[in-house]
Amino acid sequence: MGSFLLDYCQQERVCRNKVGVNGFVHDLICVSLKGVSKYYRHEGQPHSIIAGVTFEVGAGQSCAIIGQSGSGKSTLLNIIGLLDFADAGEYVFMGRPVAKARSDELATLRKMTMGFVFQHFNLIPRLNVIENVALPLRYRGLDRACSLKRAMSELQRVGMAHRASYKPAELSGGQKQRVAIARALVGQPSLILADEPTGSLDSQSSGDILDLLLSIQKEQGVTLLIVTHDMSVAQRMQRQFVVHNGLVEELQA
Amino acid sequence: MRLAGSRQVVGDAIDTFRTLGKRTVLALLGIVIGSASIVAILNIGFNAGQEATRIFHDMGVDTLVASLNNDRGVEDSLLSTEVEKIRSLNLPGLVISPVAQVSVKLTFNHHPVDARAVGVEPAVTSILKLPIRRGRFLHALDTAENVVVLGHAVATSLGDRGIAVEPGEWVRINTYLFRVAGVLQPAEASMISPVLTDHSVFMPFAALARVAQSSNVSTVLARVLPPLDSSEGASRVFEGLSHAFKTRRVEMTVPQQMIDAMARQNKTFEYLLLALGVITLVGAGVAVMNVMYMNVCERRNEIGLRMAIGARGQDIRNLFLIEALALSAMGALSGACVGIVLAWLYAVISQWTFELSMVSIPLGVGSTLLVGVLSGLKPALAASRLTPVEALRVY
Repeated sequence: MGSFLLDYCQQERVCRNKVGVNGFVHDLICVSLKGVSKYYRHEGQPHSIIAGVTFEVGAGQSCAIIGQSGSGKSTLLNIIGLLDFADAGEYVFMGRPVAKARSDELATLRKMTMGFVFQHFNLIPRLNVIENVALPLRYRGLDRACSLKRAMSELQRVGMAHRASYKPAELSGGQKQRVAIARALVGQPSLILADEPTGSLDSQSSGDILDLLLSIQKEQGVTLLIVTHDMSVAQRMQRQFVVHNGLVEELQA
Repeated sequence: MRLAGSRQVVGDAIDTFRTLGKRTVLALLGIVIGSASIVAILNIGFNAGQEATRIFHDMGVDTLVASLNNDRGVEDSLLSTEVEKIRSLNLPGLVISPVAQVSVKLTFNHHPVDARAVGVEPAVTSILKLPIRRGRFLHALDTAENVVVLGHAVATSLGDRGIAVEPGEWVRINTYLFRVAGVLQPAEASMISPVLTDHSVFMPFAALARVAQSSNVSTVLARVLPPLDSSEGASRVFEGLSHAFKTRRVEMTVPQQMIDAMARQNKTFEYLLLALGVITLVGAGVAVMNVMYMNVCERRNEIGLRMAIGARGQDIRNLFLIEALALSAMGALSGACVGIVLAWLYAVISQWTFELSMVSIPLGVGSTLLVGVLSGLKPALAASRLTPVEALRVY
């Protein structure tokens, strides 16, 4: 691992130690965006998806990014999650700029510090529940037995241990999302990024999933960023950012 | 970072192929056919070579046959004169024997049998490698005597009335009585020898001249003694005989040249079949590529997810390469088994003794795996070059 990543991992440990249970510390910035823009080209002309976005998220905070479909909120989440690059501006993740990081370094950062929850769950249909949850650990180099043990412990936390041997196709939407949350948490990330985590669920399951995410966020002190178009979901977060026409504005309480 | 465990990756690969269904079966079929043709061709070629060698093995590749043809006009010469001419040839490094044959009727115990009376020198036993069952072969002291050595079939026919012909017994040929010196063991018909050993009675030339006055030397048999090369021996015999028999056309048969010609013919056949095998294998490679491209397309979202949770481009590349390798390995091993069975069937139908060519398995399986990996490389690289956000995009 290069010094770039060593710095990150050290920073991540410091960050974790300072964040208390049921609270967040304001002096530690997890995500910092300064004038971040993203464009796409159509018939040779650049069109902005997000333009000059500037905001910061402290470690241990829960934030919602809200906006209408096509407003650019998922693009913003992808940039924050290091799945996509900003075309302009500066993104500093846990104190370090990431614009010049190589794709392998970004992959290692995602692996070591982030957990993703997707609207459509993105469980691998061929693997059973426990194998799906253990997959991030396999990429960390943990052996199968150790990975499965930790995966089982995570499944117990989300109340899915009794379905460990099931295939995703045998689960309901709410159960699939619980498994996806377990997979996001199994690597003990410092940032959880959830893209419309309740978008494919009924209201009962949505409430359960949100309760689960928030309880884990408080319990572990992780930073939680949720993209949603549902205001009721957003209101349960500590902070809300509205994306409109590529611009981001924070809603004041 | 290590890639997810190899057992899981191979298990993943098998699961993937199960879900891809018929496309995988078709690709697998192509690989099986390709691998089977390579293995079968190599084994058939190997066994053909072994068989060719085996045909000449009994007689030996050091034996030469010179035919003396009369197509330039009939030469009125005595058998004894011809034999003397051949005896007087100075051919170092060679053992030679003229051969003259006529059809005769043998009688033993009032039982007549048709046979070929073959006039030979005693040295012919070392040239044709004639094994004696009872008694002895002709000797230099027998030159003027009425003695015969019976081929196995002739001896059996003569003795089928219950009284076996033993050495020391007398048989009648035309109006002459001949003492049996020995009886030969059964021998397989040789591809190049003009003498059908089992159906012949061997006798000195003087004796042959008595029973058939108009016989001539039709063939000269020779054995090349080491270190003389068989081609060099053949040219010496040819020159000697051409000089001695100016009015007759000498035609040489050299087993080594026949083996070489057969080997060349086999090689051409082998190359042709090998080309067919390679074409099939390339077709199989295209099928593998197609399956792997479809695989990448259908698992785009999974690629995105794996990247999101930390897989690097090279991990994704390896994942698909291992899958291509697993598909090729399954096809290559099944194909190798099918190829061996096909080659065995070919050997059985051709009445050959089947021997497994040791290089056929590594060559057949290795080339198939190589084609599989090369075919899987492009789709695997395409998958590894996707960015996470591209791969995760829902269309």
